[in-house]
Amino acid sequence: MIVLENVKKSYGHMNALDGLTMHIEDGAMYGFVGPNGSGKTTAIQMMCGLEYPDEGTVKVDDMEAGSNVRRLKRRIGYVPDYTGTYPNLRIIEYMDFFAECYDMKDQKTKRRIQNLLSMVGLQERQTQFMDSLNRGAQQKLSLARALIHDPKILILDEPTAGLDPNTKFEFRQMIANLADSGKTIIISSNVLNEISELCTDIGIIDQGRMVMEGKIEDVLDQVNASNPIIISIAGSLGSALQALRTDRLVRSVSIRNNELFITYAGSKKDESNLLKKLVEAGVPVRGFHREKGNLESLFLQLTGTREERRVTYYEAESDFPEG
Amino acid sequence: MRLNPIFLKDEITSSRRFALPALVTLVNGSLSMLVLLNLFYISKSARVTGEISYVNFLRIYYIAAAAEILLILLITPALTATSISGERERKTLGLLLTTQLDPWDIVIGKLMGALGTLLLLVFTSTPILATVYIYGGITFYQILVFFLFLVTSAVFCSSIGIMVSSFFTTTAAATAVAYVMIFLSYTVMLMVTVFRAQLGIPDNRILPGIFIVLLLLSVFLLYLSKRHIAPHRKRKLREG
Repeated sequence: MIVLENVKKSYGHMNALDGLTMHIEDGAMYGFVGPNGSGKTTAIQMMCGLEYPDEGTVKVDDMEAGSNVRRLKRRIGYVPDYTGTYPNLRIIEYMDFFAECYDMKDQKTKRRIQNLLSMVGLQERQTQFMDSLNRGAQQKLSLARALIHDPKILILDEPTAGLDPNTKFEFRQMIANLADSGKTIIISSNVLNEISELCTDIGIIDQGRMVMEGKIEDVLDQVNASNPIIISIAGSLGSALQALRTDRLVRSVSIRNNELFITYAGSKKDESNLLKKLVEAGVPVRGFHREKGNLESLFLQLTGTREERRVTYYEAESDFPEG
Repeated sequence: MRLNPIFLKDEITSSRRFALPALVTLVNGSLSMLVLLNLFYISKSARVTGEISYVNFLRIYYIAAAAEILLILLITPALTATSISGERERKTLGLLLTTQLDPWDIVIGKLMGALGTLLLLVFTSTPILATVYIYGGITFYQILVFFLFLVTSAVFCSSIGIMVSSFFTTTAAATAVAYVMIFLSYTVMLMVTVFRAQLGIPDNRILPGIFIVLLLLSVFLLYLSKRHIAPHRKRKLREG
C-alpha cells in the first residue's frame, strides 16, 4: 500500500505539492490524473525515492520513503515519460546493465531478461543498438527494464504519450496483463479514456492537492448524480409534465425530441419513486435513465474552471464601461 | 568480485567510440614527436660541436614528463565533465537512482571509468619516457615518484571533473568550470612547491604532502558529488 499524507514540496517560490494526500491499495490499478504542472511527476518521484517531501510522509508498504531506500527501490519499477537511452548500447546490454544495477547476473536473470524482451516484442531485435529504436520500441524497452527486478509496484508516468494507436493498444494490453498478475500499477496520464478503460481507482490532482480520489465506479456515480435524468415518452408529454411538477426534487425540465431532460436532486431510491409515480399517473414511459457521466466532464468540472474563475474575477474587478 | 556496473557500461560505450583510440594515438604521437625532435636536436648539435651532453638526454625526460602532466590536466576535464551531466542530459541519472545503486556507486563508477582511460594513456606512454634509460641519469625511484604523481593527479583532476559535472546541468558549463578549478589548483601547488622554503616546508615533506592533500581533496570532492546527486531533504530552520 502506498500512502502520502499531507505532502508538501516547493521549488523556490513554486509549490509543486501543497498538502497532497493519497492512498493506493495493494493490487490496484490507480489512474493518477491532473492538468500539466499539477504535481503528478513530483508525487511519483517521491514514491520512487527520487525526491523527498518538505513536509508530510510518503510510505510504501509501511516503509517511509527515504529511510529504507534500498528495500523500497526493490519494490518499485518506474517507467518515466522519457526513455533514457544509451545510444551506444545494444538492447540486451541495456537490460544486462540494469539487471546488474539490481545486483542480478545469474542464469535466472538472463532467462528473465529474455522473457521480458519476448513480452514486449523485442527479443528478435536484442542485438540492435538503442538509437535504432523508434519511440514505441523505446517505451516497450523501458517497460521491460522497469520489470527486470520483478517489482511489486509499477509506476508509469504518461506511458503512452507520443505513441501511435497500434503501439498504444499493445502497451495498454501489456499493462492490463501485468495488473492481472497482481502488481499494483500507478498510471499518470492525461488520456482520460485510457484511465477509465484500464484503472480500478483514480486520483485527480490539481495545484498540488488531491481534489477527488476513489474507485472509478464511485467517482463516476458522483458525476452521474449531477447529470440529468432522460425520460422518453411515447405520445403526449402533458401528463408527464403534470406529474413532474408535483415532485419537489425536480429542479428543472427541458424538452428535446419527445424526451424530457430533468435535473433531479434525489437519490437512487427517489429516482425509482419518480418512475413509479409517472407510471401510476398513466404516463407511457419508454425509457428512464440518468445520463452517464464521464471522466472528461468530471476532470473539467474539478480542474478546468480555474481559468473561468479568473476571467470572471477580472471582469468583476473592471470598472471600465463596455463599448 | 562484483565490478561496478556503471564502470562496465562506460567501458563498453567508450570502447565503441572513435575517441579513445584517437586520444591514445594523439597523446603518444605528440610525446613521441617531442622526444624524437629532442634526440634529433642532440645528434645534430653533436655533429657540429663533436660532443654529446648527457644533460640534454635528461632534458628529454623532463620535457616529456612535463608534457604528460600537462596532457593529463587538459584531457581529464574533457573526459569527466560529461560524466554526471551527460547522464542528466540523457535523462538516465534518474533511472539509475531508482535502481539499487547507491549514489556512491555512480560516483565511483564514473571515477573508475575516467581513471581507466587516463591510466591507459599513462601506461602506453611508458616506453616513450623509458628512452631516458638509454643513457641513464634518472633513477627508478624518480620514475616511480613521477608515476605516482601522475596517478594522484589523474584521481584529483577526475574528482574535480565529476564534482563539477554533478553540480552543473550542462556539459559545456561543467567543462569550463573544471578547467578553471584545475588551473587554479595546480597554480597553488606550483607556488607552494616554489616557495616551500619561505613557507617552512622541509624538502623531504613536499612530495608526500602533495600526494596526501590531493588524495584527501579527491575524497572530499567525490563526497560533494555523491551528496549532490543523491535526493536530499531540505534543512528546516529552527524557529525561535
